[in-house]
Amino acid sequence: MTIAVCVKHVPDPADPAVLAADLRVDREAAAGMLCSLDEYAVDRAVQLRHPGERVVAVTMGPRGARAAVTRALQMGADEGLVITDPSLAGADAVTTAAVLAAAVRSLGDVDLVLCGMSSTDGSTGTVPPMVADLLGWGCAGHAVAVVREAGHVTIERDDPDARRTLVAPLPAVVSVTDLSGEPSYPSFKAILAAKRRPVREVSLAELPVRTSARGLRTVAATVAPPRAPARIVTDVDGSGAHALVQVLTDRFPMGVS
Amino acid sequence: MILCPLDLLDTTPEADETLVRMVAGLDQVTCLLGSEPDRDRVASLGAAGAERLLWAPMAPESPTGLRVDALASCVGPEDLVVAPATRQGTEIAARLALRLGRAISVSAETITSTEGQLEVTAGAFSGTWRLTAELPYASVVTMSTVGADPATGAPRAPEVRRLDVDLVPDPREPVVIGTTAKDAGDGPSLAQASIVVAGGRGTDGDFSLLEQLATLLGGAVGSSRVAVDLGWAGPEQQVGQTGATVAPDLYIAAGISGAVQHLAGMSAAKHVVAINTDPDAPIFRSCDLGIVGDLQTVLAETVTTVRSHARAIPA
Repeated sequence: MTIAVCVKHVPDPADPAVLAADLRVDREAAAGMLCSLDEYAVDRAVQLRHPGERVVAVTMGPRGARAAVTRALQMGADEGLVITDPSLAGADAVTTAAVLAAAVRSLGDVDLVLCGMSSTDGSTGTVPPMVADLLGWGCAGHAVAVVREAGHVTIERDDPDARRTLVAPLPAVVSVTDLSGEPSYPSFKAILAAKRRPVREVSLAELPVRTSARGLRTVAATVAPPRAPARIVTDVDGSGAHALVQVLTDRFPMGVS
Repeated sequence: MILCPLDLLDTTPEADETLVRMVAGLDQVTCLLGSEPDRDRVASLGAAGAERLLWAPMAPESPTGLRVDALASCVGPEDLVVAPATRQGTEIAARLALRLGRAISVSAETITSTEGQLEVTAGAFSGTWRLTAELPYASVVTMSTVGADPATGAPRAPEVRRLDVDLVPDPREPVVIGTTAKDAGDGPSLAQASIVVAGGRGTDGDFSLLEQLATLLGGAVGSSRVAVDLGWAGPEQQVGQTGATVAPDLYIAAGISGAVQHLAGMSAAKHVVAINTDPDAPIFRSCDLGIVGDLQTVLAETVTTVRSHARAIPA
C-alpha cells in the first residue's frame, strides 16, 4: 500500500510576500520552503506507514517546488513526485486539486492521502476536500489525531463546541492541523539518506488533466497599513500596570473607572 | 438570488445573522437551514434581511456532503452562494464550487456587485496584504463575519419552506462516532469578546491572572499555538492563522512573541497591548502599547487596580 502526502512549496511566511505583475505570488523571487503546515502531514504519514509500505510526497509547482519534496524525503518519505508544467503557473485550487488527484491515481495502490489543513500562502484550505471529491473518496478534515486501521481511519477533531471522533472508510483523504503533534526534526543521517530516494518529475503530457480558468482574477493588491509605532513602557515600580490601566480607563470608561 | 448555508457545526445564530446582513443589500437572500426554524429564528433572520428560509433535516453532525447535496439541489445557474468562512463552510464551498464548476473565493471581508461581476476584498499573506478580486456573479464565496458590523436594512417576513429533496448520506463520508461537549464557560466567546487577554510561552503555563483579568473586564482568554500545543490552553482558545481570527476592541498579548501566524489572527484588533520580557520581540512592532516587563507582575498589579476601581463604584 501507498500513503500519498500532498505538499506545497511556499514562500517563507516570515518574509514579506512578493507579488508578480499579474498579482500572483512571485514564486521565482521568493526563497521557498516546504509549507510548515504540510510538515505535520508528512510526519503523520511516516508514522502511519506499515512495514513494506511507501510514503510518496506529491507536489505541483515550478521546478523549484522539488525542494519541498526533498524536505519531505528528509523527514522520512520514501519517494517524491513533482508535477511541473508551464501551463500550471497560477493554477487555481480546482486545477491544483485535479492535478493532485490525477497524480494520486497514477500511483495505483494509495489507500490514504494526507494533507496539511491549508497552505500558508494561499491559505484557502479548499484543496483537500476537492481532491477527495475528485477521487470519489471521503474527506476527514482538520484531524488532531489519526489512527489507521484495517479498512478505515479514525480521526479526532476539535470543533468549537465539542471534540469529535470520526471514522472514514479507506481509501480516504485526511487533513491534519498543527495541533496533531510537532514533526520531528530530520537527523543528519536522514538528510543524507534522502539524497538516494527517487524523485520523479512529470509534465501534464504524462498526466492528462483537464484544466480550466473559472474566472477569479485579482485586480488590486495593497500592503496593509502597518500599525503606528507603539508606545513602549519599561515596567519599573508599577509603570507597566499603570499604562495598561490607563488604556482600560481611556477605552472602556464604563467598565473600569 | 443569494443562497447562504447556515446552521453549520461551527457557526452561531449571531454569526449567521451577521452574514445575512453583509449580503442582504446585494440581492434577495435565501437561507438554507439544518432544521425547521422556530418563530424567533424566523424573526431574527428576517430582521437581518432574509427573504426566504429553506430547511432540511440536517443534524449538526450529519456528513458535510448532505449540505453540499442540499445546496446543489436548490442553487440556480444565476445564483451566488455565500457560506460562512468557517472550516465547515469552507469545505461546503470548495465541494460545491467543484461540483458546479464555479469560481470560488474564500474569506472575503467585503462583497459588492456591478453588472454581473462580483468584487471581493480579503486579507492575504498573514494579513500583510489586502487583495481585491473580480469573479462572475454566479460564484461561490465564503465570508468572514469576525469584526463585521454591517448595517441593517429593511426587515422582512421570510417565507419558510421545507426543501423537497431526499438527502442520503454517502457511505464514503466520515461519520461521527463520539462527541465530547466542551464547557462553554460563562464569559463571551473568543470571536465575540470585545476584550481578549491572550497568553503564550511567556506565561510558563500559568494563565490564572489572564483569566482573572478577562473575567473582571468581561472578556475572553485566548492563546498562542505554542500554549495550546503545550496543553496550557484549549484548542478553541488558539488565535492565529490556524486558529480563531479575532477583532476585539482591545487585545492584550501576554508572553506572546508575535510570530506572523499569530499576528494573522489578531491584526484586526483595534488596540493591542503587548507584555513581554524581551524588548526585541516582534509583537512590539505590531502593538499600540508595549510593556517590557514580567507579565505576571504587570497583570497582578492591573488586576488589583481594576478590582479597587470596581469596588469604588456603588452597586
